[in-house]
Formats: sequence, C-alpha cells, structure tokens
Amino acid sequence: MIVDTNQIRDFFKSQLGKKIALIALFALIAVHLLVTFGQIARYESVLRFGKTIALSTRSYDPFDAFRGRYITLNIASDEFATTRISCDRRCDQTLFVTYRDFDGKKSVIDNVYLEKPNTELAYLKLRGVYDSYNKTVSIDYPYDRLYMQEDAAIAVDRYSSRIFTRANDALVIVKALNGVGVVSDLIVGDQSISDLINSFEGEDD
Amino acid sequence: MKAPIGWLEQQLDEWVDASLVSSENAAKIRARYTEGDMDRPNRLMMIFAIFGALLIGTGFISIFAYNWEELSRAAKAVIAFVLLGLAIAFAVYAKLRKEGSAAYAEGVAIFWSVAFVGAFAIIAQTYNLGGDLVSFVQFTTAMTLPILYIFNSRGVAALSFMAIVALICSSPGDGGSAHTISWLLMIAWLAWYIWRLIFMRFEYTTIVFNLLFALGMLAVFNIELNHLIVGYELFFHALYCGFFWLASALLYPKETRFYRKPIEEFSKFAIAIVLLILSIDGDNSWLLGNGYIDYWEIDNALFFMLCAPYLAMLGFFIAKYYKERSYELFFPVAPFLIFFATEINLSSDESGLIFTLFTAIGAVLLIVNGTKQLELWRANQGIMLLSILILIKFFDSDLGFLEKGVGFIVIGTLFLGANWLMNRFIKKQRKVMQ
Repeated sequence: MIVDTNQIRDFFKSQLGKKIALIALFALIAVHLLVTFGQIARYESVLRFGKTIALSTRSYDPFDAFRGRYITLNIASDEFATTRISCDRRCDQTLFVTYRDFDGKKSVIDNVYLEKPNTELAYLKLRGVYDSYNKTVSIDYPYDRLYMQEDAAIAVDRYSSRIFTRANDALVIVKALNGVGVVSDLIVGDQSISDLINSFEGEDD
Repeated sequence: MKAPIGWLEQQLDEWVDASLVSSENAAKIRARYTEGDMDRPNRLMMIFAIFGALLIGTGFISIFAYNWEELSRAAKAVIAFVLLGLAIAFAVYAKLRKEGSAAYAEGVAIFWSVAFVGAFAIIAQTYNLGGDLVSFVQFTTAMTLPILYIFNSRGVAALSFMAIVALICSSPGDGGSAHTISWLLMIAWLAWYIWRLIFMRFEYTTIVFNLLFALGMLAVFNIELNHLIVGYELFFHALYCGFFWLASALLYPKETRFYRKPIEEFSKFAIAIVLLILSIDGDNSWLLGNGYIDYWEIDNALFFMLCAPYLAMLGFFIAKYYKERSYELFFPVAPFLIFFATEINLSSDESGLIFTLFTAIGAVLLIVNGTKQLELWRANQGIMLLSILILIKFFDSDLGFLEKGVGFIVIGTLFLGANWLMNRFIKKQRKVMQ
C-alpha cells in the first residue's frame, strides 16, 4: 500500500497525536460555545435595544420536529420606487431598508440604501429584486415563523378562521438593531396572538 | 486481522473433540485471535451507551420543543447553556480520564451532538429564527461532524450519514446552494469513512457501515437521477451496484469473504433486478423514451466521472482475480450491456431477447460454478435467477391460464427436483473430500 497505515496509526497513539486530538476537542468546544453564546447575544440585544417595525401577514400553524410548533408568517413582499439602484433589467441586491417610526399600524418604508445608512430610523438588512424598467425594488422578508407553546399553536390552528379575517389586520412585530431583525410578536387587531387565544378559550369555556 | 471470534471459539472446541486440532494448538490459535481483543469494547455496553445517550438527548429536544411560554428568554438561554455545558463536561471527562473506552466515547459523542442540536433548537424557537428544517439540519450537522472525528463515534457517524442522505434527497439535482452544502457535508463525512476503510476495514462496524453507505448512496443516486429516462436510470443503477461489488471484491480479497458478503449480495441482488426488468418483452417505450438513449447528450460529465473509475476497477479485478472468480464477472459487466443495448436503438423484442440470454447465461454460470465449488448458496442463487426469468417469460407469453398453470407446476417441480439433486450431490462430494 502507498500509505504506511501503521505509521499513521502510531502517530495518533503518540503523545503528539493525543495533544492534537485534545487541541481539536477544545477548539470545537470553543466554537460550540461561541456560536451558541454569539447567537443568544446577537438576538437578545436586538430584542432589548431594537426599534419596532410592523409587517402585515396571514398565518397558519405547522410543526418542526426539532423546534416545536410555530405559526408560519406569510409576510407579503413590499414594493418601493427608487433610483438608487442601477442594473440591467432585474437584479438581486442586498439592501438596507429604513422604516418610519412605529405608530401601531403597518410600518411604512422610508427609503432604501445599498450601504448601511447613518440614521436614527429603524432599518433592516434584506434581499430585494430591482426591476430597472419600473424602477421599483421588491423587498422579501426572511421572517417566516413565530414559535409558540405547543397547545397555544394548536389553538391558533383551531381558531384560525376567527383570527385571520379581513377585518383583523395581523401585524408581525419585528425588533431591529443594526440591520438585524428578530420577530417578537404577532398582533391581531390590537391584541397579541397569545392574549387573543386566551380570550377565545375563555369564551369557549 | 480480526475474525468472528465467537464462531472460532465454538469451532475450536468441536475440532478438539473431533481430534482435528490438538488442545495445545487450539490454545495457540485462541491466543492468536484474542490477544488484540483484550481491550476491545464490550459491545453490549456500547449499544446501551449509544441508545441511552440518544434517548436522553431526544427526550430533551422533545421537552424543549414544547416551547414553554412560562419560561423567560433568560431561563431558556440558561437551559441551552446548561444542556450544552453538561455534554461538553462529559466529553472532556471522557477524553481526559476515559481515553480508550469506546462505550464512554460513544455515549458522550452522541449526547454532545444531540445536546448541541437541542441547545440550538431552543435558541431558534426563543428568537423566532427563520430558515426551514433543511438549513437547520445542515447547520447542526456541520457543527457536530467534528465530534465524529474527535471521538471516532460510530453512533454519530450513523446519525450524521442518515441526516446527510435525507438532506441530499430533500433537494435532488436542483444545483442550488442548499444542495451543494449537503454534498460538501457528505464529502466531510466520507473522509471519516475512508479513514475507517484504511485502518479498520475488518471491524464489524465497518462492515455495517459498508452496507449503510451502499444503501444510503443508492437512495441518493436514484433520487438524483429520477428526472432521467427510466432506461438511463437503470444503467446508472446497475453501474452503481457494480461499483460497490467491485469495491468490496478489491477491498476484501477472497480469504476474507465474510467481510464483503453483505455488499456483494446486495449488489448482485440489485443488478439481477435490473436485468430481469430489462428481460421483459413488449413495449419498452416507458424504459427507453423515444426508442434509444443518447448517453453522450444527457450528462457527459457524470457519465465519464463514473465510467472511468469503474473501468479501471474492473480491469484491476480481471487482472487479479479472473481465474478464480471469472463466473462472477457477469455482474460487473451487466451495466455495459445495458449501455450498449439502450444506445443502439434495438426493438423491444431484440432488447428483451438479449437481456434474457445474458441473464440466463449468468444464472447457468452460477449454477455450474456453485455445483463445482460445492457452494450450495451460489448454485441456489443461479436457480432462483433462472426460475424468475422463466416466470417472466411465462407471463410475457400468450398462453391461457390453464396452460400457464400447468407450466408453472411442471417448472416448479423440476426446479425443486434439481435443487434436491444438487443438494445431495454437493453433500456427497463434501463427504468424499472429507
């Protein structure tokens, strides 16, 4: 055989081999802790210090084997007319979208930038498709789910025809900080989805 | 080289009783094969460790998937860290204090992997992170694959392989980034498998992985190719199985047949099915599309990528084992017959006839060789193949129910008789040899 397997085997059994294995172990531990802690820190800071943006949605209730039940958030794409982008016909772009201050209704796009904006307004880093013919950009939202306690999510499914009516404006509340957005709640009418479910269950009792 | 010790021990006692081996020599043989096994892990302990860790981890994931609203975000973060921290602490303990204990290594490796998935699931649900199940499984698989290397954990290897196969099958042949990432994960996993084939190919678990790998890749292969014409798919299917047959024949030479048996039988079975399908007469447009397949137009890169190493392996096999295993060439050669038969625009009847003849010749070779070498199993395989072929031809024919019924009974009786006679002949020959 071209490779001397015994030599390689001996290497892994040697002190140096064991040291390398230990270094790999601790490197992996560091990566796991950093990734886990980093994710928590990142999203926790958004929820604590971020500004509020509201996006309209129609929802229903599916299931994820690892993360539990959630409500799917079908957030409609936003269209925004702009001349800041230039490309042939249609192109995919990473955008920074600023929103006017939250006033209890669906948030309104203030402007669209290609670079991080220097502004007091809430903004999100999003993907958008620019149509150079209409000079509009279609903005897609990556927020597709709101996790709920298992029985509450099942109740959302049960009452979905009463919750998601045309009369009830469903708004996804997103906290935004430095372009990062975290979904924090779903407001239907003027109530949080959890409160609304509790009130329905109270009526049924 | 490790052998099936339990079997050997049992046989040794019988050999000593039958005065075939002296007790001194039996002791020497026993010592030779058990010396290296003193530090071999207790299999039962290892299986308990794997299942215990897996069940505990899955239990944690399910409990947290309930998504307790009473718990604050901080509490959930603490739970995620405690879960991961506990798993890491066990892992460090096992590495520093229980180095060499396979049961510990398996247990902590699986628990760590599942704990990481659980911790990440908690974070994702707490902060309503987007992304579908595929991206979640990809990320957690990528993060837990190094655990497989650090602990050489067979449990983590099996779990991650199944996850990767499921990932590839969930977005077949779309060429998107998710698909590419899944294939990169497969390459990362393959490095471990190849390493195992180099250093531990005679271990039982490697043999299990050989079969798991063959089955998993068969699923991947078929799903990746399911957009193609059936005939083309059948060619690749046979090529794939022939590939595994050749790989096992070259990796595990004649004297270690026990190790290559699972893959060998699986590959032979799969190729036989393809040949039997192609032996069916009648309209084969469902197989071959418009009449024939233009391999050169469909996917040149894939075709040459697979055929070149296949031909090299086949050449190597013929050069090394032709004399002793020529009768088995029937299986690895089959894909090329499929290639030519589907390439040259044959009529349905012509292609049916070619495959019928080829399969029949292969079956007869198996019967003849099995009888000569006193291998009943091989001879029976030939009989089985031939009888299924005859059944297919019977169903293809225009005979009425009565004729068919009588025909089945006659042929069935003939085969049972042939089997009985062959069995007697082989047993007699074995006695003569003894």
